[in-house]
Amino acid sequence: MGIRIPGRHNSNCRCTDERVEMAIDGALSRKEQERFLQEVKLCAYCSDKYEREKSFKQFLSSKVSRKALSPSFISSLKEKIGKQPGHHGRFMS
Amino acid sequence: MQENGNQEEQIFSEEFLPHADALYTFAYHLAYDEVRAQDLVQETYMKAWRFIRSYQKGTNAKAWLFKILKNAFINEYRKKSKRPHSVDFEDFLAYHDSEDSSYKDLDLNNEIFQDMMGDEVTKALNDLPVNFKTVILLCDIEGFTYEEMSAIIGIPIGTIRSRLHRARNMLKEALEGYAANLGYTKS
Repeated sequence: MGIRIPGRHNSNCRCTDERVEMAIDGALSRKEQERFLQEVKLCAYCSDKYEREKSFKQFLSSKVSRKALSPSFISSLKEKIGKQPGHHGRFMS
Repeated sequence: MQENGNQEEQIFSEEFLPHADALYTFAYHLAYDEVRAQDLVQETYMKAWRFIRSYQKGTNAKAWLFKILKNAFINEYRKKSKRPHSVDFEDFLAYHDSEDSSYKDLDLNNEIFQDMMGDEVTKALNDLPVNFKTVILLCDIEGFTYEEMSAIIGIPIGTIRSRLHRARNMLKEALEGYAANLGYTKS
C-alpha cells in the first residue's frame, strides 16, 4: 500500500487520465469501477482529479439550459405526419 | 394494413415522442437558434416516421433519433458552409493537439463558478466548434455511453474519448476566461 502525498501520484498508482474519465462517464465495468474507486483512495493526485472531473460533469449538467417544446408543436407534428403518404389519416390519441 | 399503421403510431407515440425535448435541447445547442432547432426536430420526426419500418421496436429509439437529427444538422451545415467542414476541423485539431496534453484543473469551489449563470455556461458551450460541442452534449447532458455516441456520430470509440477530453478542456478554458473577465484570477 502506498503513501498519500498531496499533489503527487502515489508510486504504486495505476490510474491514468483516461481511466479517470472512463470512471466518471460510467464506461468501466462494475468490477473495474469498484477496483478504480479503491485504488483512487490511495493516490491524492488521482483522487483530487477524479473529484474535480466528477464535479465538472455535474456542473455542466446542472448549468446548461434545457429546452421544452410546446404542446402545440407536438400537435402540429402529429397533424403533419397524419398527412404523409401511406398514413391512414388522423393520428391516434 | 390498418393494424400495422396503429402499431407504427404506437411506436411513434410511446418510443419516439418522449425524446422530443431532449432532441430540441440538442438541436438548439447545435444551431443556437430556436426556429432552426424546431425545424430540425420536425425534420427528424418526419424522417423517423418515413423510416419507421427499419426501426426495431424496443431498441434504442433515443440514439436512433439523435443520429437522424445529427445527420440533418450536418447536411444543413455543409450546405451553408463555404469551406469543406473536414478541413476546418482538421486544422483546428492540429492546433489544439500541440498544446493539449493534460487535464486542465478548474476549481469549481471558486465562488464565481458557483454563481455562474446557466446562460454563461451555455454560451461557452455554444462557442465550441460543432464536433466538440456534440460530444459534450451527448455525453454530459444526455448521458449517452461511448458506444452509443460512436454509433450516433459514426466515429470510433477511441476518437470519441479523445474528442471528449479535448472538448472538456476547451470548455474549462473558456469558463476560466469568463472568470478572468469578471475579475477573478486563477489561484
